[in-house]
Amino acid sequence: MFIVIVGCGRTGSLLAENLSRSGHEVVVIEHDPESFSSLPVDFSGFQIEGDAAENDILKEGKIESADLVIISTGNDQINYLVAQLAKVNF
Amino acid sequence: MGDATDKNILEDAGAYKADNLVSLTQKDYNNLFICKMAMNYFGVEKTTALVNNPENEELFNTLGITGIFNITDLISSIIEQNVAADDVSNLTLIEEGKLSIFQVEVSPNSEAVNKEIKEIELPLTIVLGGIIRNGDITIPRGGSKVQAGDKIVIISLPEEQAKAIKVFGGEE
Repeated sequence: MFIVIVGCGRTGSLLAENLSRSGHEVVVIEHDPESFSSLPVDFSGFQIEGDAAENDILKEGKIESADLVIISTGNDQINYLVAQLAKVNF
Repeated sequence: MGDATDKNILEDAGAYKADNLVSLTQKDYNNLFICKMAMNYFGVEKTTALVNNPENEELFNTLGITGIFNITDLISSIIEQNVAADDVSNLTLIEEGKLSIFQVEVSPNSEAVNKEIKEIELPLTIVLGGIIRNGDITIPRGGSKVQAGDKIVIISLPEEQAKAIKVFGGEE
């Protein structure tokens, strides 16, 4: 499966690690570049730095062809907006 | 006082009896969230939100927010109007700027001087509402003549506004 994960905090990075290990294609979108360090060194997916509440960033993450989008930022409002963006625009 | 993205705060504010909830924060995700909470939890029928990123306007529309103020559009139209402020005045916007009504003074080097209205080349979306000459107002007809110094009241789409100003205000 092609999976886009928004937010690379504790939840996002753990999911990215596990899903990527079990053979899924993973893209992680995160606005804070330092958070990428919580991904394992052997993480084979893509990392995109940017604000997922922007259409362009979601496009860059190839969200239109994603089978699953996981939104795990620490902010409910952002999670809601991104989820709606993904559904409505893509 | 409190965080309006918190359901309890909205409830304290009496959101359940609101006719219209207006959310004007600088973050689109907060505006969307607050409006959707008002709609889903408190049954508010009309919600109005500020849209800071113009790309979100369509999303907000799709999600049923009834009033949308796109701040980028609003500001750019205000700036456009100010840029041409020399010979343009009394500008009024209708329906969030979808229609504008304004007044232009006819410059002596305008191509419209001493022409009848029907001879002036204007887009069909521009309507002339009145000619003001020495304080007297006449309602323009195809045969009315335009003179330098006249003030013309124009009703047009904002996109065509610049063309109208160019014709009557003369080339810059």
